[in-house]
Amino acid sequence: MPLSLKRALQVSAAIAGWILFDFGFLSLTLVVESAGLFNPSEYFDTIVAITFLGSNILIAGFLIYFRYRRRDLWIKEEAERWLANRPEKLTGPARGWSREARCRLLWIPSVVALLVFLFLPETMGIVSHLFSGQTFKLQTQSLRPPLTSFISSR
Amino acid sequence: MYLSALIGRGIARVGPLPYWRKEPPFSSLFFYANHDELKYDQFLTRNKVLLERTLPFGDEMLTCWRVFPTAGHMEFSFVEIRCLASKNDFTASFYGLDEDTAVFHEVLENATEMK
Repeated sequence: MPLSLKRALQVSAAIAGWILFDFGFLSLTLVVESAGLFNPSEYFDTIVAITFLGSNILIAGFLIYFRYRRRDLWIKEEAERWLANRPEKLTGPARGWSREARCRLLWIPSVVALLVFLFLPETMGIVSHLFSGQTFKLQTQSLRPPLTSFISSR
Repeated sequence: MYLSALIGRGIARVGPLPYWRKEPPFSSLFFYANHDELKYDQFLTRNKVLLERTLPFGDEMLTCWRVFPTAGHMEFSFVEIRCLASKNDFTASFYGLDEDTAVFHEVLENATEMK
């Protein structure tokens, strides 16, 4: 597997894992609270907010630390890749175009993460619809809530 | 049996300020079938009704009351609506922003009766 593709997959997996964690955490909090599994104290929201922010800072810190630990190896890999690709650049313009396209593709996870962040309630709604469908039957009535609304039913 | 739907607007649509002020633009919609605990007579005597509206709902009618928001949600923009079907077999509630009430009414108006 090419190094750039491997790195793109690693970054995508890290971002997807991060989003999944945030979504799972918020969904779990919402489910626990709405199901009435326990009596939330007056500090419940503050505790949830601190835990959410704290865990996100921890994940970001872990990723920065991971990057820092791999820095030397990363520079070595980049140098090897650059040296390996240098003759291709001189002889094959198509390869250069392909490399540029791959570099642009690396922005996709960041763009997706940004869009999810900017449209988080809408994204959560769409994802909840993926798991529970778009039409809901309550006795004899069939209801169709908006696609971007976060759904919970029983 | 119930269905709840949470309508929200992301930072891209409303900007970061509502989130920063801890007033995220969210509205909750609740729909219940055969919800015995709701005593609408008691509810209506306890709450000040601001507006009453009747909607077609399958082969029956749905009466909705926009009431003065209950304690804890006294913000001017906050809206509370309760609805009850004519056969007392279905109830719906809305808590949230005025601009989302149209969505709530639309969901109810577009409900279809399943035979």
